[in-house]
Amino acid sequence: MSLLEVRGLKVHFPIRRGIILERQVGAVRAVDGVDLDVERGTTFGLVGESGCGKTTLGRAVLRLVEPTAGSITFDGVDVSSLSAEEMRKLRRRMQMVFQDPLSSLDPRQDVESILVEPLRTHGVATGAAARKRARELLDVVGLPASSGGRYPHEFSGGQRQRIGIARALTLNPDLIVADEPVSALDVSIQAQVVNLLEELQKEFGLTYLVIAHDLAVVRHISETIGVMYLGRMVEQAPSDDLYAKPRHPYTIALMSAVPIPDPEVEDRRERILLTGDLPSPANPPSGCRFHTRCPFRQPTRCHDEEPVLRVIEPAHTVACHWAEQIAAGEIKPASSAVVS
Amino acid sequence: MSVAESESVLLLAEHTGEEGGSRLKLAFRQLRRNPVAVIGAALILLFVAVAILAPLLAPYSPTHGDLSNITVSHVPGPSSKHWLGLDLQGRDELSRIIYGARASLLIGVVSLTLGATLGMLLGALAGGFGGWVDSIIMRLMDIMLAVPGLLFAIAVAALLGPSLRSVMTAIAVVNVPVFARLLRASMLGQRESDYVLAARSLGVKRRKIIIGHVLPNSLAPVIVQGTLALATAIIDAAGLAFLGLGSADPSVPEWGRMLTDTQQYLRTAPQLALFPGAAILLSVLGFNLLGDALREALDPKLRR
Ligand SMILES: Nc1ncnc2c1ncn2[C@@H]1O[C@H](COP(=O)(O)OP(=O)(O)O)[C@@H](O)[C@H]1O
Ligand code: SF4
Ligand SMILES: [Mg+2]
Repeated sequence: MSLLEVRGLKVHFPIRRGIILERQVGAVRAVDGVDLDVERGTTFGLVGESGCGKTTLGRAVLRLVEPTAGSITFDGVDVSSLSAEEMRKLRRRMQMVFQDPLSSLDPRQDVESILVEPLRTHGVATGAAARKRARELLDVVGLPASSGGRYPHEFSGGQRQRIGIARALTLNPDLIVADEPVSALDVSIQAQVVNLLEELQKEFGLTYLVIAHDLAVVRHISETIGVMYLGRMVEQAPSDDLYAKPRHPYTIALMSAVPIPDPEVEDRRERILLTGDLPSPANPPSGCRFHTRCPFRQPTRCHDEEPVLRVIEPAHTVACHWAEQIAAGEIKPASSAVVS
Repeated sequence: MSVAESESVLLLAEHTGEEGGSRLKLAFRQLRRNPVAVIGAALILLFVAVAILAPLLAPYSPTHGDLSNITVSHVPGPSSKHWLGLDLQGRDELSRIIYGARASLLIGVVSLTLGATLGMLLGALAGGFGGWVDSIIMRLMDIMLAVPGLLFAIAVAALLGPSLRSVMTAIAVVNVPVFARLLRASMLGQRESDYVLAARSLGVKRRKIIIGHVLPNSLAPVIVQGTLALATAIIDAAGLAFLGLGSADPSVPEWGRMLTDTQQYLRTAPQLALFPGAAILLSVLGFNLLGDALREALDPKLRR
């Protein structure tokens, strides 16, 4: 059984108008029917451009935002059925690492008190024992033990993210949702933090849901990758599969933007440009949500029939009516979208 | 542990941001280097010292004068005996200015303490609970704010009769919605922040999040406002006194009333308007300068 099972998850944020008589005039469908499974001890990489609902999905999994519909099952327990107090207790086992390490740390707390607080909250340890655990955690994430008395603003970005990671580890969680854990960091530091996450996974048997807006970051660390577009999962496959043969036009376009180290291949290959902006999640396009930007769009089905996520190869699912024909080369991208 | 060792060398390459210490210490250090803050603090210190030490500093009695030298066309100006000259009742102007600081400070401190405490209490309730508690409190504050401050203070002072106490009450009441709204807005902003989300995801209880994280982080703008509100209180107090709504005893020196009293004698004794005016100006300036510097020091976005 997977550690985390998400079924039909929807998170809609109501749009309200009126000052005194508030009424709902619509909803931002940030997450609009997502299924995903994360196996114990593995990493699920979730990618998609900014605004497609990744953060909201990650927060809904931890029930930091309330799902509108669907179920979240964590280690066999239906999370959405839990009372607030039961949920609070379960939080020990699922933690979060944030995108912006500085704003995720209370500026008035020194590092030791940041790390001790969760221990005290759950009655795991207090006083000297808690402080000892805090020092251990600093060591685990590669910060000097003397950091305990210092404040977040005294550290560099990479070090702050280490503090955030240490905090996520305080309660020995099973699952960590890492929301763009390195995108706010200098490129030179990103690899260090990704490596740290990997080593911690091995050492503590952690399960990760890692969110990123580009494929490069999650490639090496993920067993499975899911690609999101406008609140929906459009493709999901084992990491190597997805890289070797992306099937959804959106994934194909994203992949063509990832630089390839081999200069010869890089020179020869075609880049597929995505034009236009992400449509509003309050009013997603009809049919296939990607049809307004899809370079492979067909005159039939695309604009009036919503594609479902279907298995096209073992463990590889795609939500596109024409995935097979595109894979076979029968359908070519519009020439205006191709740059060589 | 292995991870620590492999990374520690790389860590040295990352530079650390700023000097050590808590945010507050940092802000204080920055203030000390800022000439605006230093001048502001010096003016405030002078004002407070003069108010407290008035009986020691004043060369003469502020309430008893000698009318023998005063005529309609001549009020003695500065001299070596009376540095700022005499007022219309023959009282030593310097002594009256010095004692006048007391009324200003008293009104400022008392009205601010009352108004800010009540306002922050309401703001914290609104910002902490949200929902209908928030709605009710904030609508009430909106109503209070809809009436212009000085007009409101005049109404209160007129209702309670002229006395120092009604001036303080009036200014305190005017301050309540200002502080309530400020603290609430600041708390709502903090509640949206990632560290609150982090605390929630760690299972920290709601009440502890509000009291332990949200509230302390919401106070910076309130402290700034407190400094600026002292300046406003001094002006309002002067304004109310000018309108005759100050202390019931006219012999008690108040800067605002000293201005009123000299109105008709501006031509004969312009210095009598100048000195209390300068006193008001300097004390207000002190609080404003420090308030602005504080705002800069406490707001990380404005830093450098
Ligand atoms: N609390 C909220 N209220 C209303 N809309 C929101 C809220 N949070 C996110 N959204 C909207 O939901 C969509 C998805 O946002 P988000 O999950 O942050 O995307 P991502 O993390 O992929 O960039 C965006 O259009 C965003 O504006
Ligand atoms: S269904 Fe049509 S519009 Fe959607 S991704 Fe496939 S080809 Fe493009
Ligand atoms: Mg995001």
